[in-house]
Amino acid sequence: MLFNSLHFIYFLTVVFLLYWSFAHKYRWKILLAAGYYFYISWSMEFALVLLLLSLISYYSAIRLFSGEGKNSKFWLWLAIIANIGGLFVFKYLGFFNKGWIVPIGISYYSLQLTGYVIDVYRKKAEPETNLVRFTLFSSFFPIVLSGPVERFSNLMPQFFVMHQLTRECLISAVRIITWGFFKKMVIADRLAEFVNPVFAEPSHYSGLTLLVIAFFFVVQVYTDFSGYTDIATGVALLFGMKLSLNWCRPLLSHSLMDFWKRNNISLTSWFRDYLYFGLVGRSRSYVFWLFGIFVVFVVSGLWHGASSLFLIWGALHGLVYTLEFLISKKIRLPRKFFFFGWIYLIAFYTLAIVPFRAGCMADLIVFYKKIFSFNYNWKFTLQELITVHSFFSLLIGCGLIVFLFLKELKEEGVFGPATIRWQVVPLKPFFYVLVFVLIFVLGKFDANGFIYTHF
Amino acid sequence: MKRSAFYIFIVLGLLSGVRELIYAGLRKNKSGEFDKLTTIFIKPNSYNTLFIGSSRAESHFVPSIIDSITGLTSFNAGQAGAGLEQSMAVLKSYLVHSVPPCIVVLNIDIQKAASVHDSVYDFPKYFAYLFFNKKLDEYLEFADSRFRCFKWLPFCSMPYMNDYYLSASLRGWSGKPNEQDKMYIKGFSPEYMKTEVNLEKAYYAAANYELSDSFVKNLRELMLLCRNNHIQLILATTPLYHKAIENAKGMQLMKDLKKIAQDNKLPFIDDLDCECCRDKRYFANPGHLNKEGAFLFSEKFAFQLRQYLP
Repeated sequence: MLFNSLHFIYFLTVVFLLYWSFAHKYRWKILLAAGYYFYISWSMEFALVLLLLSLISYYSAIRLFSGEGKNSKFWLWLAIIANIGGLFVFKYLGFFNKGWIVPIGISYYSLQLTGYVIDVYRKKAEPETNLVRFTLFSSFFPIVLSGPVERFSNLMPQFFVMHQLTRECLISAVRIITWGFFKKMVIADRLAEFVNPVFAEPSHYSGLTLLVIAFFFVVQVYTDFSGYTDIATGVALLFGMKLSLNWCRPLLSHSLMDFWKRNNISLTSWFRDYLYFGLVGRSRSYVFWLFGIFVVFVVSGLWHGASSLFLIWGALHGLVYTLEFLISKKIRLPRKFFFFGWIYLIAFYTLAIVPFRAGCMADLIVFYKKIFSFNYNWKFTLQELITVHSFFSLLIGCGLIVFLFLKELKEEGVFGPATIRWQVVPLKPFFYVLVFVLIFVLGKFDANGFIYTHF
Repeated sequence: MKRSAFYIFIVLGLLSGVRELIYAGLRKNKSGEFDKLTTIFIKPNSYNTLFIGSSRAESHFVPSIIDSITGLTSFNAGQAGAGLEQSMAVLKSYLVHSVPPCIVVLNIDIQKAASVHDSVYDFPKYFAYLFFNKKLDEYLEFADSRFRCFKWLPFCSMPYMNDYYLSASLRGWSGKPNEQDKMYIKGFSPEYMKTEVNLEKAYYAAANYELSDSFVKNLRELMLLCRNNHIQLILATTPLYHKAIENAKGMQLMKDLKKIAQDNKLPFIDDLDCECCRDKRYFANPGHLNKEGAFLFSEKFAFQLRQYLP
């Protein structure tokens, strides 16, 4: 059951009506039942994996909280090995055995459960003693497939707070969901029509076409994943839950460091808090810090999948991030030069995303060889892009990219009084009316999957 | 509550408005597929010959060539994917605004004649005509109950209006046809897509094919419709690549078809396995002639057709 399917719309309507028509004490049970129904709609076996990892995390957290010293560490490592080891085994067995299926969403809920156990170990959270209540934490249906990776202290208390269905809440939810669907069905799925054929056979295209398509993929992956998160955030808000901010206009960043503060924030901060700080600890060694950053990026690359291409993607980001980190200690980019920083970020990110999407190493080499040949011809590229799909679709695709950037620039406060940077500012209602209509006019309704549910 | 109702009203109004703009653009096309549909379903016509059937009718009968040989004024109303039931609905819809033709040539697809089910292929192309042709509307609602929603609710129909329809609508408004539109000549559209199918390994029909009961029932209904409108119905089969029907020699279905034609005194022009079927240069794929093949076949067909003219 995908968010962009009719089945999900029916499911959501039923759950919404049930949730608000029952008394407060039953509501979390409805969410729990809905979560497992949603997850079982993918696979019963997957649901058993989710339940098993939840049980291990639940039990370990209670034991380590009540235990002392070595005993605590044993339970901590048991939970980490179960969650991360489970993730590792599923992903790497999938690499060696093509018939192996990775449980959907395991990359997200295993991190969420690990984060919970570590928080309990670090005394940042108290363990949940009711097992049934705890299972809701990992099975909350808006986030179980693709995050955001929520923290226990943020999400769990919200399930048991008495929520009121307010007009503001409902309007905000509808706005966020509408914009999420727009990003996914109108922008991401349209760009996919250009991206997929070109990435399937890059040797058939010229260098400039490959560069343009790589940029299209940058926008596609952002709109696809952030669209998913927006829908998840809006759906959670329909039940009164506020998920943490996961995206803050990352394509307007002026450096890679800035980018990683704004991009997939919940996952990035998870790696920072639980992996980076775990690795670096209290070390004062500068070199060790840099090494830690590099390792985190490599691991985050491998988190996407057991492939050398993801390793290259992570390593590239790690390398440039550490370089930026070193430079930023000496030079700070003045605000008036942010535009050049943005150009650099887009150029780097476009080039660095190729391994993320390339089908194999040979394709990656073809991509880079052709792009760096600098044998560019705009007219020929335009012809090639038209043959990939159609001139009409290309025109709309480019228009939509401009529309997306204008909207984000407006939110960033570029066209008017500065807004709060780390906030998504809602626009006028008519904007959402327009967006809603555009979904029906320009959207792709063939229920394409979300990119990040594959990871 | 009032505000929400206001915005819902605005959304519905805008969606309906945009939908109507798209539909109007489609109907404004002066060439191409939508011009053909507008001709069939809306315009008053006085063609004396009409070709009906599936994509094989659409891509095989070239009215301009047939007219030049026979002196007729014909139009090709073939619709991709149409079975007999849909072809009959096309004829009924055509008769709503047009003078009944003297001759209707029905191209029979042997696969469709053997099949029980008949679904509406590529159905969104008919959306723009639902309010303009009662017979079309009735048939589509009967064939696919979703058409009740498609007709009235933009939420239901708009998801099917993909880029193909949007760009066609824009071409209608701008009056600028594309290359594909220009290929249409009086309803004829050449098969322009070369499929990946290996012609030598093609398979289209088997010897054990039999006429389905629903086909026979629909054919009788069509005969009655034609009789009531003083239309001479002519049955026809058009070329298939010879390898594709290699296993279907002496097919019972063809014998039964010929018998029906004979019993009802209907002319039957059988070109399923004519000489051009042996030359792969004339085929776009096993079931469809290419443009060159269609021109050649139409010339031959025109001479055959001339025998049945008064």
